Amino acid sequence: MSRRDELIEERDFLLRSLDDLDAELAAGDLDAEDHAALRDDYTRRAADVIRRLEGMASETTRRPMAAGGDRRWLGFVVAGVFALGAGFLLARSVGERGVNDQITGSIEPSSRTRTRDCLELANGTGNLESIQCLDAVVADDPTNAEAWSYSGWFVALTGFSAADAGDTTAAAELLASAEGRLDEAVAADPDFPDAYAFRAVLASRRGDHDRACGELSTLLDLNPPPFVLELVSTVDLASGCELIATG
Amino acid sequence: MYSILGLAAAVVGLAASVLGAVGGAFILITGRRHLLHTVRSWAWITVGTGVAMTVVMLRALSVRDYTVDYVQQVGSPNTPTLFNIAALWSSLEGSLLLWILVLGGFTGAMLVKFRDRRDDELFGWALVVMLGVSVFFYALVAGPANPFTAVTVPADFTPRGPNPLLQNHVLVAFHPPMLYLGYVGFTVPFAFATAALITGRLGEGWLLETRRWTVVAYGFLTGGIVLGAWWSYEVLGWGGYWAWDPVENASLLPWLTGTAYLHSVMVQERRGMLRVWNLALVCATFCLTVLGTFITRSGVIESVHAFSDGPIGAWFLVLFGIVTFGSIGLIAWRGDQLRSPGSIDSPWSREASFLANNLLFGAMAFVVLLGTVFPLLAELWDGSRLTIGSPYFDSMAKPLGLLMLFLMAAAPILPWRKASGEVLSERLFWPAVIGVVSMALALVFGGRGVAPVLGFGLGGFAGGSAARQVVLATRRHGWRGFVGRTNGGMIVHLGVVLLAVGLVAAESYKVDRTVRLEVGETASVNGHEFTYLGGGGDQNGRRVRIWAEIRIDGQDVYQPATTLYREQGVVVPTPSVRPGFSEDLFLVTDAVQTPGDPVRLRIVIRPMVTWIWAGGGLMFLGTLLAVFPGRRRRRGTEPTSVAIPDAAPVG
Repeated sequence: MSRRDELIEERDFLLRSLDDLDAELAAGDLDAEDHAALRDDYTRRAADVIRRLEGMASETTRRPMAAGGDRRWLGFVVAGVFALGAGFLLARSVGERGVNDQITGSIEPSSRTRTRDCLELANGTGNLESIQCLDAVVADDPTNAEAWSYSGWFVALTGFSAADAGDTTAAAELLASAEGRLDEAVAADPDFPDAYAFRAVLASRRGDHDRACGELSTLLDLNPPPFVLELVSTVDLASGCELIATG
Repeated sequence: MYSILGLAAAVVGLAASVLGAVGGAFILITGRRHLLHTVRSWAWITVGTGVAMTVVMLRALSVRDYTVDYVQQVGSPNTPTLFNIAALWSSLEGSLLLWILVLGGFTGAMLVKFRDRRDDELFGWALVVMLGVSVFFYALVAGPANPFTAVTVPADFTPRGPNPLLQNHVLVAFHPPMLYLGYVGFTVPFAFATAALITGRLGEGWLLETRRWTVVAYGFLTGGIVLGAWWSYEVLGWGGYWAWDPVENASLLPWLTGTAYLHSVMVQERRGMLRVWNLALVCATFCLTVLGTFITRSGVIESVHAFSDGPIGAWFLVLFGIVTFGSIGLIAWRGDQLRSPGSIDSPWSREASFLANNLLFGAMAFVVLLGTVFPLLAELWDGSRLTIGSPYFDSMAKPLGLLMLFLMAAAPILPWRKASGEVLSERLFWPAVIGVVSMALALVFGGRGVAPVLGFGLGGFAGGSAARQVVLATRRHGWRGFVGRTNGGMIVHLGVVLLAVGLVAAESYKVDRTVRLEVGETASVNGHEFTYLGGGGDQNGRRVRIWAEIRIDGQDVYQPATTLYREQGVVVPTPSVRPGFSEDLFLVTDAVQTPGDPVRLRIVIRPMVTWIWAGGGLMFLGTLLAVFPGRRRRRGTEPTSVAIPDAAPVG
């Protein structure tokens, strides 16, 4: 588009805008004072464009470049600050994507789903990460007997390892913590069998066979799943426990 | 037989699309416009083959013809009829058929609407673009994502049916088609924008041609997004409706740019400004629908929506590249003709507020796009598997949302060009009063926290502003005060206010508890009593369903359930919701229970959730009213609504 075409287009626009102003005054969109001011401005700009078209060039009617330039810089600064803020918040919200995670957002999983995810982390034997994961679950849902039970069991396994390594102080603390967690599990759901199995194993390890037999008796009344029975069968509970002998 | 019929339709559709697109472009470039009617014929053939493919697939699904690959994937004799129909879009290949069907529908509607403009170059190029998009999708279904592939049925084949989550609620029959109508609908304004760029007819003519098409696409996309949120709430059982899931983000992105466009287009129509910006928004909206489809259908994410690990991702990336760089190139090519003669006279004008609105929508789109693609880019860069949590999106969306509410209040009452203090104070008085009263009511009813109370206040402010406009319009024009773009737009604004206020309340004052109950036991949560009465169960060939019966506040009984889908071996929780004007009580059990056993019950209490659905419905209604012809504006007040003279034709 040539410079002349641009000026013709601008002239047409300004002349039509002058017509518009009257319509907008009549519609009540503009008051008389603004109408007069805008009309003067458009008239001045239109006259200037027409003069330039007629070869009587005068100073440009465009706003001074400096003002436009300042606004442009301000716009860049605002956009930059916004992008930096977004980047900062994004960096704070970035996490490592697990197997079941999506690339963005988070559907709040149920307490049961979170427990299952924690158990996957445990890889059967438990570790610090899985215990912390289960602690987070019970912090939000203290009624989750499964999470209490397995956090207790994994802490107990850590305690057994400490005892086997000769660190009796740490072992005692860990096993006491495990007992407390398993008690919480039974309080949350007296019918959840796994907690009794774990309590039976703990009692057996510390030589309390009566308690172990009692826990085992309760466990058997609850029709536990096979893998729980398998767990307690690996522990020597038979001696002094009539239930096993007769069962 | 169905494999052969379907594939034949796909091949014919592909051939017609190619002939129409390539032939049409050749005809237009060489100036033989009298031959343009042949392009219309090819276009009608693509419409017909799209319908034919859909009918064939639906028939194959209904007779359970497992020799068709797609039917083997999602068919089952146990699937009820409604979900068997919905199975058409329950997996990748079928959803492409739906895309083609909808694209054909829009193409057919264009052919009918513009039937009197057989030789019009602008319409001709728009049709070529539509057929070009059609080539892509037909190529997919005829090639790498062919749903009609003939397969042998293994001797031990067990039909599995669609994903259990997609046969668990009636909304699945409406949410995806609505979303696709929105996604695909934006192809029409994109086609006209591209045609305007190619032909050089860059005045406001193409905007007027596509105004209603854009509003229709926007309405469907809005409806699809809200229905998706509702489906998530009713089906997924996590107690929420929006999780900034990548699939949700993918649908939100074109909605944001589309909303920005619907506002900025008025500035161009009225003042001749923002020409480049509007073209960029239309092209960006279509690009984002392609990007969204890539994200959801290519297997780059793990989501209930992303079923495919197939080879179509590269195809979508190629389309995305062509559309993006093609649009940028065309806009740059026509840059000298896109100069806007006008300028903003005052920051206190409607055009200035629309510009601010556009900046906010653009900023929001940037936030969502950055968060969504960043993990993909990071993985591409160094293989790191990252996830961007909801806090990022929430913390960016809240302030932007509050600013948008403020602009929603101010913009409708501002006149074009300039507003005096007197006009502002007169027009803002009642909306401001309503805003203050809303904040006071929020505090009286226990609202706490600065942001939520401010949200209620701004919601009242924006609602008051929109209501004022509706009242004025109906006083002046009677029932016509409800229809037309401006008046329908105000109804949309009222819907947005309901939705926003609902979101503020539901997110800020949520109560979430899990309780364990014996039969006959009662739990009290947030002033409500939940009594466990026992349970029950039923089963059929498809599923085993076990429910708990919960009496709420001594009144009605609700039945949250868990359902085991036999064919997939998947357990799906089915929440039970007591909706209400002031709050929803959402119940879900998270494990299969034996009837009568103790139950672990999750109770989520969210205030004003129904306002969100009502707001979405009102937004959809508003778009319908906006499409309805309103009072015609005097031509003289649209100074630049003419094509730019001396536009150079192509060729």
